[in-house]
Amino acid sequence: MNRSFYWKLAAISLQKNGKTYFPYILTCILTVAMYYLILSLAGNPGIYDLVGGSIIASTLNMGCFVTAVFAVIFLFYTHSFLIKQRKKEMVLYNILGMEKRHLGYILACETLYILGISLAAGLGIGLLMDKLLFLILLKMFDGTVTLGFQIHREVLGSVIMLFVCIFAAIFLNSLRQIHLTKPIELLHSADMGEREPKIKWFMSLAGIICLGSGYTIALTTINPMDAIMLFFFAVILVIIGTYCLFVAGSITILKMLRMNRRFYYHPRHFIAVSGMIHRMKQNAVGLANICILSTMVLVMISSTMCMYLGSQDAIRRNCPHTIVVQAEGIQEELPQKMEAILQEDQIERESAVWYRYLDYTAYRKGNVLITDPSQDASGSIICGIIAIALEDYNRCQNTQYTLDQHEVILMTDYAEYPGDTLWLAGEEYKIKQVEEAKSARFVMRSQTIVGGYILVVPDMATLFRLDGAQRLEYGTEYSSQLETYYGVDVVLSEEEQIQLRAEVQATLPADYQSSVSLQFEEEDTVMGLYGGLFFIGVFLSILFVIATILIIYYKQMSEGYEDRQRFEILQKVGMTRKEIRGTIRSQVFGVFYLPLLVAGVHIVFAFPFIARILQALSMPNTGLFALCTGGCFLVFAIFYALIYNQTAKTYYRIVAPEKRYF
Amino acid sequence: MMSMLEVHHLKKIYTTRFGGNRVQALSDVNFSVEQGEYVAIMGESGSGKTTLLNILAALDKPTGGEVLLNGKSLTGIREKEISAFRREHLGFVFQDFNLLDTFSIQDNIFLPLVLSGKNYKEMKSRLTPIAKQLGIEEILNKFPYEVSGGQKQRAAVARALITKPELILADEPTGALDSRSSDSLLHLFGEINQKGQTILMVTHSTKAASSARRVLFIKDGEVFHQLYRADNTEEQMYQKISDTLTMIATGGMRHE
Repeated sequence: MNRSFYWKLAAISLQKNGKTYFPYILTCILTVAMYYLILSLAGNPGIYDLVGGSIIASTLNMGCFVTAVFAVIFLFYTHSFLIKQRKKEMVLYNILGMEKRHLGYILACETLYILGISLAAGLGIGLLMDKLLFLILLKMFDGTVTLGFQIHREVLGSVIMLFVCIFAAIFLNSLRQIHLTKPIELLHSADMGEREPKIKWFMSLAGIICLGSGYTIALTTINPMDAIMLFFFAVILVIIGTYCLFVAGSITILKMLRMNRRFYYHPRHFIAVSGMIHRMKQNAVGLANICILSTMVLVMISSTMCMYLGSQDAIRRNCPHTIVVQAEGIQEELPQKMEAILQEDQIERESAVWYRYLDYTAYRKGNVLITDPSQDASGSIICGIIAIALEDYNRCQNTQYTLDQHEVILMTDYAEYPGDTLWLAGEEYKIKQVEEAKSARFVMRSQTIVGGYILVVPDMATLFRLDGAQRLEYGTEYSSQLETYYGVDVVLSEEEQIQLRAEVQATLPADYQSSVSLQFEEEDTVMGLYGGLFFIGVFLSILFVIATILIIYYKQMSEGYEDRQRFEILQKVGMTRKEIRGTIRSQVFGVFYLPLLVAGVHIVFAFPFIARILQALSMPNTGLFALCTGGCFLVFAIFYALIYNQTAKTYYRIVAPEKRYF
Repeated sequence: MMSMLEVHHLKKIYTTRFGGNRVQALSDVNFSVEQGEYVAIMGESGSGKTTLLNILAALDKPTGGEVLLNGKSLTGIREKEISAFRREHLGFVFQDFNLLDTFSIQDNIFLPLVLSGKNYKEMKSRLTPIAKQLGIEEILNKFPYEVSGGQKQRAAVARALITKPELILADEPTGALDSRSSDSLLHLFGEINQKGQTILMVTHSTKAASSARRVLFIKDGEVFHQLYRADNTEEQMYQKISDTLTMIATGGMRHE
């Protein structure tokens, strides 16, 4: 037979099956676009300039991997329903004298058509969206985003590679299906109902175990550093668990409900339960996808939003005054030297703050702060400590506090402290009072990585004693040293501030080893970094939300046609339209809100875990994160409800057309 | 004495959506069915027999005339109650069985009872004798796609009977069955009728119609003729029906 004949036949059959193929091709196109977008983002070198660049890069690579897995599962699964419908047509060709070999040619041509269309349109949309999203978001973040826009040839290459592979696999699978079936069976296959799914105990159990261990990791990992390491592991466990539970667990539960006669033979449950069993068989994977995508959207957008909104905290911690000088060692003359410069230049200013402090890290185990690396630190939390003598504290804060020997004031931002005593360098101190660290303008640079405390100790002697202890225990390589801080708010333009810094650096003695930081610069970097993160969060969320909408819509539509006949029968058997609407609603409602519900549960369990990771990324404000998460979930739920309502309307129109007299 | 089912001057006109074409499906149908009768309604395709059945089943509303079931007008029932009425007073057997694939045979049969809020024990006790009579005890736990057409239709009959309806409406019940299954189904209808069940069947199969006690012929939207089986055997009845059909087809005169 002529080569072009197959191409023509394939084109015709695609056209004839347009109703089923159109949504499939659309799915393919958008999957390609989505994969391109996320790959191009992950390949963006600007990522590494962001705070925690390596973590984000690996998160994105993880995202690429997950998207690729989605693409494979989702396309394979969508296609499996298509090929089932096409089998009969194929058999007809077979009976009319076409060999299975020829059917293979037609299938190959069809696959190539779809691949071509999907890649061309998908990459086109991907490129366009890439550019567009960048422009929009750049505008949104006022140019503080450090990411650029470019087209990578390798990205194009790997997108094409992946989809060629997926389509080849889909093609081989359809070939296998065609070869395995016998014409006679196939002709009758339309009369065969969808087989009832079996209870899969093993898979349900595996799902519970995976999900359980994922949750356990999330709840029991206290150390922020461990949290980062275990994060991916927990995520993979939860993903596997979600798939297993949706695919097998749901059916197990429904079948158990069916075995309960008193529950099952009830007008409201009877149709819903049996309908759900069959519905879940076809929808489980799609629903699990929706669930995972929703969870990802929520986690990403809430954590990045929290960082963006919390960036003021980071600025305050890193650079509490408009101009900050930090010198190594105890430099009693630093204030006078700085005052002299400021006076000489006649700079408009507020009163300055200066203090001597020790900034070091320790492991807190219960109420003992450990600085000896040889000691057993298991079960402890790493924390940053700033120690200040009372006299400096009173001067800075204009207070008249007094402390006895072995008494301290503990200041904390978001880290909690249990108990009312504290062991420091082998001696117990009573915590006289606890203060909010926010109220003071102390630099807490080390606490940007880990949570921690400011400790106000009775006198300089105690401060020296602590310094000596940590020097001894950490050794020269890891120990910190005493520093002197001088900070002042000045009224100067940015250029003048830069000038002033140069002057200060030139004037101060070299042995101060001083560093001068300007708050506006800090603000620029921090906002740029967190803005970039938020940008990625918004970008990926939009992407995932589009994918979610698509899956929901596709599922609703494809089911509408199947359900139509069933509901006609129910009407004939004596169900009112109202009852039918009711059962449709409860089934569709259950099926489509289940992913949102499970996503909510995932979020609840992930919350403490992510809060810890955020601590490691210098966002210890758990309250703000809770607010962000709650807010995002609410917005997402409203959005989800809107999509659901819209598609449900279309679904009703298909299933129970208005004004049919039944 | 009042008849169980009375149909007076029934008229049905279909209009296309924009009121352009008007098609008269039924023009003036009159007949009645007594308690315990087994009536077949025959007619060619397009003669309006399906329309008639749909109206009797309260699935469609007539343009004119009325239908009385036990003296109660079907047209007077409010939309809200119509489904419950259908469920409680009528049983249906369809050509394409209309069993739900998502239910086992037993659950399919239970369906109308579950909708009426009956408990499992009562449903089961109602099902046992019916299943025995219809010979479907073995397949109760199977799914519709696992059993043959004849078995599916028996299940559908069981579903119609289980509500103890006053009237069973059958729409081409043998239409999708092979001749052996048809025979056994018709035999079953005869048996059920013997036990006092009123049956009204719409069919264009002479074979099916000949199992009824009375046959109504519909042509051009009217009852054209009727035959009583009386003491005739099925074979004699078959011959009589064939003759009548030939006469209708050749446009013979109406006689009573």
